Amino acid sequence: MSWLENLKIAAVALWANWLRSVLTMLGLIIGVGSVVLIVAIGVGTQKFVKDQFRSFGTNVVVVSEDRPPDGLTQNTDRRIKPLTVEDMEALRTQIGAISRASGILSENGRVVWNNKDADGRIYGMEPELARILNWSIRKGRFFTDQEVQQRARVAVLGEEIADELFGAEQPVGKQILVNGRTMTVIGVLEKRSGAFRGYLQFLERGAIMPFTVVEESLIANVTPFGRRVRIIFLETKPGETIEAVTFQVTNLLRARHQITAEDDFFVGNAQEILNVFNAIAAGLTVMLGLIAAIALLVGGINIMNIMLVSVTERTREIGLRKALGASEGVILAQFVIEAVLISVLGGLIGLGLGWGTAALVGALSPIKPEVTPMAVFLAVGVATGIGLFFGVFPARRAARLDPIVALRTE
Amino acid sequence: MLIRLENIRKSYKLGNNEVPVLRGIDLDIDSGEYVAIMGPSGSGKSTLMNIIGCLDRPTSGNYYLNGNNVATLDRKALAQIRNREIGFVFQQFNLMARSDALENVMLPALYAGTPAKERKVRATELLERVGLAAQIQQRPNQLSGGQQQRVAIARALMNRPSILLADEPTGALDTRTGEEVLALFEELNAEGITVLVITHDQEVGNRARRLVRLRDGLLETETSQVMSAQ
Ligand SMILES: Nc1ncnc2c1ncn2[C@@H]1O[C@H](COP(=O)(O)OP(=O)(O)O)[C@@H](O)[C@H]1O
Ligand SMILES: [Mg+2]
Repeated sequence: MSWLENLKIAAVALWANWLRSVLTMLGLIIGVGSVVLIVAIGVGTQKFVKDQFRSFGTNVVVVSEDRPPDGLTQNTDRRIKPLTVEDMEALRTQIGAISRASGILSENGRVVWNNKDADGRIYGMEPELARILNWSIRKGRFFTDQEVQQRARVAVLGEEIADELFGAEQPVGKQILVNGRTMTVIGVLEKRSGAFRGYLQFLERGAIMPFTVVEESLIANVTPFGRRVRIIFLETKPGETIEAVTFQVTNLLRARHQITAEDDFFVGNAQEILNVFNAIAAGLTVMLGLIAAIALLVGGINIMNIMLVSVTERTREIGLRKALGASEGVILAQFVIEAVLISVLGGLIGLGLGWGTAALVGALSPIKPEVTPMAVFLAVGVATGIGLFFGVFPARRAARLDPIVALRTE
Repeated sequence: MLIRLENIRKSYKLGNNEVPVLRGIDLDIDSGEYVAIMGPSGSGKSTLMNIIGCLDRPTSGNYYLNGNNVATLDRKALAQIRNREIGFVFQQFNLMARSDALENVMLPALYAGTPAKERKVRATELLERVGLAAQIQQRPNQLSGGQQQRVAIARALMNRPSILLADEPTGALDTRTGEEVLALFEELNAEGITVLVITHDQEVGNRARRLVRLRDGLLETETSQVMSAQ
């Protein structure tokens, strides 16, 4: 008896009771569907994060102050020194592996246009940073390196503060007062949405100006140690390892800040952040995958249960087949094939469902889930395996039925 | 000798009791015979037929089929004998409800590994032979009782068995259609197939060439009948 004929018999049997067949598959459909979806979202999330960091560059080391947020009482044991423009200069000139350094200055500011004023924050930086951090401009343009050198009095406004001051009017080209100094608005930043909005939200009320311009006007942020920098970006020279540079930066700053115990700064790099994120994502995927595996197991047991019921119900049919000459092997094969067919069908439906849901998630969120060939292979493979494993027991029971007892059953 | 039964006993366990159903049956059947086994309901006719049909094994005694001791055969060999040597016809027809007449008739050949084309040709011929050329694609629930039993007979003949075993084949049919079935058996027997019919209907018993009576698990008198029907 050929496989094809067995398959046909199985298909006829499943079709004859299609509602039950679907119910039999249900557990497996859900199990396979969720595995596919979870893996797809896991892969999609990792890609998304990687994309977010791509423009950031993995050759960039970030230094920031490590202090409790404003308003929290400071730990008096820790004497925290601010990061300063001088720190930045020292890092750039004293560590050979660093090709360039760039920082963000910031202070509170009052922005005035046409008798309207708004509170905001003033940031000074170089245009390179806007590129590194992947900011985009809604209107106008960002300032250039030349304008930084020339101390050009230009400003790029965050969207919120621009809307507040200008309303429906076109801000680009207008003269504004920033802490009393006249600046020309040359651009408005695009408001970020999605996962990384929070991390750039501070820009929404910002006036961004050339580093040199902010540097000369800093009043509030001049500390006993020098002019304060919010954050420093260091670019490493090609061929230098990020770990080595991170180590040197840490050592130099410890020396400069006379650290004896805990650091008052934080040194990080994109690769590190990416690694941490990947580890978290992988852990989550494994955990959710385990839950899904339990769902698969339950799906398999469900198949076994219903196959057992089906064997009992079809006792007479089995007896008849045996009377007509079907050997135990043939009956075993018939029921195993039935179980495998139902599992593979369930697996495929689950795959389709998982895939569809993944596509829906992709359409509605910035994360684009990705159904990999591996996931497809796994889903169908696991489903087939479950069918085989959980189908054998009921099939053996069918094969062992005593034909006499089976034929006497009503 | 095609079938030889020697002191066949069969008992069933009922709770703690062994209930004897067959209590020492001796019976020889030659190839080409037409034998009827008669007896009241519950006398063990079906039990005997199941043993002869290799569906069941006796508790004790010897059964030789074509000179081979059936007791020495394993389950796979028994399945093969049921498939090739024996054709079963049941009182309740026992057709596959979801399959049409043709598929039902082809089923034993499927288990014999006959190629699909050959299966189909032979099954079609057999259905024509039993007068169901027009009903080939009909399912059991679209056929009358007599038609269903003829499909079952065609199925029994599919693998050219040497023995046809029929357990109350007319029991669920009216007299006229039962008559048709018996005529078919006579025809088949004339062609050389050994026919063994089990019945509790004297009319049916009388049609056989040889009548064996079963009572209380033992064979009674044996009557050799001259062809009364002819
Ligand atoms: N599998 C079985 N288990 C227990 N008792 C059985 C079984 N098969 C048959 N019997 C009993 O054996 C007796 C003979 O049954 P059977 O051979 O079917 O009789 P008949 O076909 O002559 O009506 C009956 O009493 C029946 O209840
Ligand atoms: Mg009976």
